Amino acid sequence: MIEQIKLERFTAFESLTLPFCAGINVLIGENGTGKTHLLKAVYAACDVSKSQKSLAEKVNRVFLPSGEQIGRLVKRKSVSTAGSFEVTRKVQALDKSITIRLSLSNHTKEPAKATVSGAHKLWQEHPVESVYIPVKDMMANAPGFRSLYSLRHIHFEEVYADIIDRVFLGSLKGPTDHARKKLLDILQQSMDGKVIAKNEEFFLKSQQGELEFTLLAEGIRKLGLLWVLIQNGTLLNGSILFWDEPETNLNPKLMRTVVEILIELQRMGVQLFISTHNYSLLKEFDLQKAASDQVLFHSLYRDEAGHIKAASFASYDALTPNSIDTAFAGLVDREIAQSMGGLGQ
Amino acid sequence: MKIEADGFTFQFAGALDAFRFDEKDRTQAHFHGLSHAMKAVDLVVELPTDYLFIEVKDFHVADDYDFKSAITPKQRDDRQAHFNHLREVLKYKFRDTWLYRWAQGKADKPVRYLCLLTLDNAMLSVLSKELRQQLPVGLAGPHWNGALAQSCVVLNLERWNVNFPQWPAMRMVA
Repeated sequence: MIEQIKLERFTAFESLTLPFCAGINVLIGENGTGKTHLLKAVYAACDVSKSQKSLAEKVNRVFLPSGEQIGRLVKRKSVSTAGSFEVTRKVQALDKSITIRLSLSNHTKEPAKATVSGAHKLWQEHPVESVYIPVKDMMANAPGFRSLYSLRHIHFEEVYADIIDRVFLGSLKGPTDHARKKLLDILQQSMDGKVIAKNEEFFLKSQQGELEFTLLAEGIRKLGLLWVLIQNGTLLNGSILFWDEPETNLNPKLMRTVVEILIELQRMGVQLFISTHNYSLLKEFDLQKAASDQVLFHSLYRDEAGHIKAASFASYDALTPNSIDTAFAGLVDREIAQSMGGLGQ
Repeated sequence: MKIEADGFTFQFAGALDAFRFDEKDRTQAHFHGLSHAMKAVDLVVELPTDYLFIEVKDFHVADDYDFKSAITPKQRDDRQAHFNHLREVLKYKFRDTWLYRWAQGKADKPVRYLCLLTLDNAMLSVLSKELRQQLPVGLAGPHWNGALAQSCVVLNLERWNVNFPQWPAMRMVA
């Protein structure tokens, strides 16, 4: 499990240490408070444990700075600056916590010149399965994308290629266990079918026939993606799921199903990192979680100096600052101003 | 002018009058003696140009009304029932109070209905919209010559104090 990330002058962050819970970590915050950067940094660290790539190389591919100059990921200053981030995770087999660190300066042009330190050998000896679901759906665009990405230099953050790799993993051997079957059933009921792949193209197979993903509503594609990741065993006890804004293109009814699945995955032992701007999604977590579930809400915000800070809360009601509720407050205020004609001001 | 209602204190700068509408003390000037017959809002405030009808409800479990986020169909039905009940209570309190005031000859200024509730910001707009349609607010159609309510807004304590700095409200210490 990922225990913590610590960033120093990395991308938008001046200095931030954020501990995580073993269950569901929900990140909220206004645009530009670094939610996606946090997810990507932790994901890159998880991915290299399995892919055996260099952390610097992975970070560069996942963040994709201009000209692939990794030094551009150091927080911008008018003077020469060094930046770093480190991720700490608990390895059950070792019964101890290990840390991997990436250090670089704004003059570092190539990933090979950045420094990876900490327990990176142990880190790769104990791989962890991880999956990052980006905001844009890729399942409908899967045919040919993998070969194009590997053969040509196309400007896509690597998370888009990675998610397609994950969905094309073969099925696990043996019968599907009870916990996964329960989740697959919930998804099948919501999608009214299950997902099949033919020559890198995905279809939703239902009683009506096979419908290609390009013709499916985006919300259903998301459920289909979850179905595949659960069915092929990517999301199992001990794996880690990163999902950037699950609410995109989901209606509130499907949101309920998605949160139900995410909470069940947590109960199965999956650690989750979710970023959201959506009240309904946030509220679903608050309402569906049982007392024994581990859900931690992290609010990212800028202090008076403009530096990104974080505050973490186990309860939705305690969450402050709550950028989502504040957005609704703005609407309420405008409605009152329109309605009351300045009375009481 | 300072007044208390349902665990809150309010101050209304520049008000001509402010009183608890359902006054129980028959020696008070605003005692109307019909509490057994009709519903009533908590406070009535007379401003130079308007009347404010104010209803205060301090829930302990605000989620009981959040039907949009319910998980099961039963929970949704229960919460929708709570929400509908709340809307109906707020509606009839306004209408009965309006009738009293009309009978008292005090329906001579636009009436603005303010409901101070313990709800998330996201739910305030939902209830405001429903209540505005039900009262109704403004002229209800071509056959109406006057409006029962000039405006209706649902607020929580934070939004109240942000929007009405001239009428500060505070929760009373138990």
